[in-house]
Amino acid sequence: MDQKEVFAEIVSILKRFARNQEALAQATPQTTFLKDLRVNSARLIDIVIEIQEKFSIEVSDEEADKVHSIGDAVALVVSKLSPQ
Amino acid sequence: MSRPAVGNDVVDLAEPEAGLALGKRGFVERVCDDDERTRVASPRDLWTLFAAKEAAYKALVKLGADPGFRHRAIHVAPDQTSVRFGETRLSLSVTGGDDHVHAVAWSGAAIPTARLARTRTAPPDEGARARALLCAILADVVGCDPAELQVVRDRVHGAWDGYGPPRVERAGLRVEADVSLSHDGRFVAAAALPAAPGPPPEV
Repeated sequence: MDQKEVFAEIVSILKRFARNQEALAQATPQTTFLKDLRVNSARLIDIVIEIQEKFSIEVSDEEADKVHSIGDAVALVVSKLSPQ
Repeated sequence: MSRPAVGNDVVDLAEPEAGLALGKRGFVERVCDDDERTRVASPRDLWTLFAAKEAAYKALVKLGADPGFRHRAIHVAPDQTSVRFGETRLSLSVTGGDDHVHAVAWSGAAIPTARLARTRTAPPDEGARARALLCAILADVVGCDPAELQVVRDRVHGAWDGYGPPRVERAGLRVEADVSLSHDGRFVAAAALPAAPGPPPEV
């Protein structure tokens, strides 16, 4: 799965949780979860859980703490899907 | 760490996702430590712990701590009167009704004043309602008209939205109180913790 596909999957996950759907419709890698999409902290947990399930990966609290934008999430997922 | 800092968090239990969280694989495990998990039997139990941790997070950040995304690292005491993060202990108050939970966490000996209100205002005006509630609280404390008070946030590089925690000014001067805002669903909430009086001046 390449970056473009991961980006599309993450945007799809975010549709249920973003309060600012207009911002999501124009999402870029720089779009932030809290400020731009107005996702609250409880939904942020939901998003992390859904990303784990969608891509069959584990995301630690420390890794999740560094994810502020869609681009951060894409980079994290791609790094975990890439063969070491 | 006796500097007064307060955080508050409200959860609308009628929000659709609030009712689903308990059944979601991994949600409780992500939020609660082993001890807390034994206390979660209902959505209300879960969101009480969550609100307590969020309230504590807001106060801890102002005290210089960095809990980050580690909800499990903030432990809520079984009697729900305190929270602990590492060596830091905060007082805790949890109130609520059938449809909401409101938690307030604070440091120091003074007791904060907190209020909660229902709102039907559609986003994004809920933030304005929370700020109005905060001004009403502080107006009572300061003894002035709420209209004289203004909630401001300073620009802070690196903050999640580019701004630091809220504070209140009156006629351009800082009101010496730590404050916190929260909103979720139909509810807005605010808390204020006036600064402890300093030592008497030397004569």
